[in-house]
Amino acid sequence: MKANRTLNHRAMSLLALLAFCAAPAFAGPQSPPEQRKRPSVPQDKKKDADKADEKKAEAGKKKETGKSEAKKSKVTAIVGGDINTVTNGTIRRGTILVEDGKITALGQDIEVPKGATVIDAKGHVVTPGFISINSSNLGVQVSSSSASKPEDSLNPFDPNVRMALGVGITTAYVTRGGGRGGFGRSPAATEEKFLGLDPELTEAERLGYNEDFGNPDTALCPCCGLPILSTAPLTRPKPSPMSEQAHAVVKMSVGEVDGMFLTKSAFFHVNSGSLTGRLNRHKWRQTIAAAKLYIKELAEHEAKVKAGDKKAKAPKKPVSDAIMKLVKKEISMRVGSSTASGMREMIALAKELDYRLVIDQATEGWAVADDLVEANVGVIYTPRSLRNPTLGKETTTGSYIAASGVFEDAGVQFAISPMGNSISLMGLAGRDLTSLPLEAAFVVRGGASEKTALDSITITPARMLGLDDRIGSLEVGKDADILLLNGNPLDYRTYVETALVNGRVAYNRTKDKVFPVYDRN
Amino acid sequence: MHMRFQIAICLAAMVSVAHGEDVVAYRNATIETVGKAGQIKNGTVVVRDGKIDAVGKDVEIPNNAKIVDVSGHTLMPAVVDPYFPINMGGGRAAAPRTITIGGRTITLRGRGGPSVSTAFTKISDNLDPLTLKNGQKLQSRVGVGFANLVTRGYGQAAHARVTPDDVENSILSGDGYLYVAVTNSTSSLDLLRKNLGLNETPKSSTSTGSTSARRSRSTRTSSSPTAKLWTEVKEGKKPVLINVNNAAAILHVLKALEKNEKIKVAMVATGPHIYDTFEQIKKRKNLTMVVRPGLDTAPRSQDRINVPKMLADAKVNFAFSVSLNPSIPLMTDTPMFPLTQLVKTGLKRDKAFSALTLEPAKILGLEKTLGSIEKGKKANIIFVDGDPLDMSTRVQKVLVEGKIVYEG
Repeated sequence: MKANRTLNHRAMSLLALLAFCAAPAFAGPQSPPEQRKRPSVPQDKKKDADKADEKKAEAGKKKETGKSEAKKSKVTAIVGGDINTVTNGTIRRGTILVEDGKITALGQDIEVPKGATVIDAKGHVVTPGFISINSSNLGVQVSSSSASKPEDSLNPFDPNVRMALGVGITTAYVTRGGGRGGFGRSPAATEEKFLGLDPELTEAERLGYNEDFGNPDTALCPCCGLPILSTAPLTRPKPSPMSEQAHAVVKMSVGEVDGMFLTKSAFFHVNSGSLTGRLNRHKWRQTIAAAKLYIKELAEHEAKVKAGDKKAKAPKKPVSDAIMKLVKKEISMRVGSSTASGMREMIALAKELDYRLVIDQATEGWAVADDLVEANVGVIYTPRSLRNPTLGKETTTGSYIAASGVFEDAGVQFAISPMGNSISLMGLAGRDLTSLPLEAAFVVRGGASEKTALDSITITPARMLGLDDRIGSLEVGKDADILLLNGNPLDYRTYVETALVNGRVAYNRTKDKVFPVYDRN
Repeated sequence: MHMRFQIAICLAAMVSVAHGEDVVAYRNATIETVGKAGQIKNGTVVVRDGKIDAVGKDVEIPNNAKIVDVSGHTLMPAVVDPYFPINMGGGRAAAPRTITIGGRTITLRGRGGPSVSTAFTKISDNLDPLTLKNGQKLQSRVGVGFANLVTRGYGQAAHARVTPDDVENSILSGDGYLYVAVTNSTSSLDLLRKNLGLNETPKSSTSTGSTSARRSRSTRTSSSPTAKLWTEVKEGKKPVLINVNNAAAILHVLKALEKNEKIKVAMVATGPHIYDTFEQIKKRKNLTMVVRPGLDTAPRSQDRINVPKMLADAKVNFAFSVSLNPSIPLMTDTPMFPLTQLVKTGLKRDKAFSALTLEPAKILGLEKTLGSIEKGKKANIIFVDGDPLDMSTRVQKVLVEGKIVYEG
């Protein structure tokens, strides 16, 4: 109750302030209920909406009389938008049909079946949902322990999921977050209390504020009296030769657990420390050799069994499933390396041991673009990241604003990630995960084409994740993760109006109120 | 008039105690029976040996009965609380840490999320009934006559009556139903899925050490009393009380339960979480929601919502648990205030009363002895000096099994 009241006060004072600033536009501070009303929908849009309703009603009538086949499974039709398919160019004023969560047809001359739910996309740009290849604290608790599975901790009600979808992210590669008080908001996933069993949430807890300061429960340092902040253990964890980064690829299916989880082994994701140094590299070579030997032994064993030898002893798997997938080239290794020299080392190792590689945080990647192309290595980087060049090597080190252009010219496949990998409310059009499309615009500023920029948040990350058969572009048979945008996807003024995840409308800007709704005209 | 009333009631009480009188007739009352008879005006309730002997307008009052005139009062069944959480010791998940700075050792107080223990707790084996008076506050809940005691983690609930003068004997039965707290994590969901045979797919041939260990554990427990309880739930003979701490957990639990429609579930959840998952909740059969009486705030908004009304309109069974509402303080003589808000905003009056008394009794399988003012049931009755849903009225007296446990 208390929390609500305080919030109310805050909201009211904010409103009052807004009203004061925009006095001529609003009715004035003496009529707060008026201000809370959303500005009305522009006239032409309203008409369109009415038309859509009419169509729906008409279709419904026909359905009653004709008993069409559409009754079995619901068809959704997105009609009249300019469809940027990403992989097959743009279809002007096209139609997309969606059934059972998949795209069943798209093009200009598509007939909308009777009984279909029609979404009017006239005047909108329609694109596939964006993919965030670097995220944390987003809809799922990822833990490295095998006892806790990400598919059981999915939280489609996490407010961050709605925020991410609000900027067009429909799929996210989520790793374990940095913990409390980090860059992002604390995840709501399992921190909620049990009704009756746990004390009620305080306002600070509910909003995810750091409570350590000013909290009487926080221990004070006996020497200086400053609060001792809760931290991770002060001793560094023992360096383990190959620590795999647990992760999960999830869809931002707000309010729906079904279809949210995609995979938990999209990469063999390791930290660069586990591949640097002679000892570590030696161990890694041995591991790969053992995995390859196992594949050979397993084939021999199977041949023996086929031949009728029932006593044949099955070989024991020497490495993790992820490493086996890596060796079989089913997935790529993902490793962070921001220096040109470090990247060359990783590329050389991948070539020698023959596995696919994606380099993360590749700030200096532009300097080794040719090596990357030659080895067919993809990179993930942040166009706006800044790294000072090494003294004396100014022309080949450090960050470079035109890196995207260099990558495009050389033919390097790259996906991008914003500077922060979690959602932070300070980050509206800032540097957190909600600025993913904005970061893509900086790809264009760096000299690459708009197509490459859009690829870097759709089909390229989909390919890296090995999920390009399902997501990343608008094609028949792919998942219906579709955005209706009110402008160019790379424009900072553009908002997502409607987002479909698995064929279901999971976000609507007017209803969800994640981002401000106002009439620009 | 008012004073005289109280004196009359006090006198009646004293007399009945002094003489060890068994039969009392309460006359001229408005009776919210919450039974088939509905509301009875100018009715009489005859209480004999802690049970209701007769209810009605023209009831014959036995010759030896003590007659108490309660005109102007409304009688309603005492509240049955289907989910009364008690603290059994044991703490939160995050343990305090000690760190050393400059040679000094400092202990940091632990904080963290809710703990989901997978240890079984039988309430009656671990509870000193005397603590119900002070520590657990059960005996200070005005209007509650009967409570189903649970705690965090999972285990077997106990039935208790609210009798402050006879706390030692307040535990009526230790053989309540299973209760379990579930969140969206593998360990807590597995507790449900494994014990109820709801595993998604039978484990394939990947025989790692951990799975074999798990298998042996489940075979070991298959003959235990705990396993018997789970089997009864699995076969739909008895319900299980599930407390879920977020909306996602509701979806995970409902998804797991899809495999077995027979399982009867009473689910404890907050209003906003129910609001978020309402479509899925509506689909589930054999489900009773346990909610706190009171208005809620819609998720991501400041709008007020009446979740019990939503449930009633959608014909989803629900029951109230008053102990879950923190805005009903202990020892308050207006425990119906949040209920009034709900009725004023659209919940039907009879639904509101039955969700407080008869529905919880049904969850607990005790609808034959509790939950309404009907012949043969326990005489658990609240006396209010007017309409219970009128904000100016107060609880004047509470009977539990015929004995006065509270007087205002």
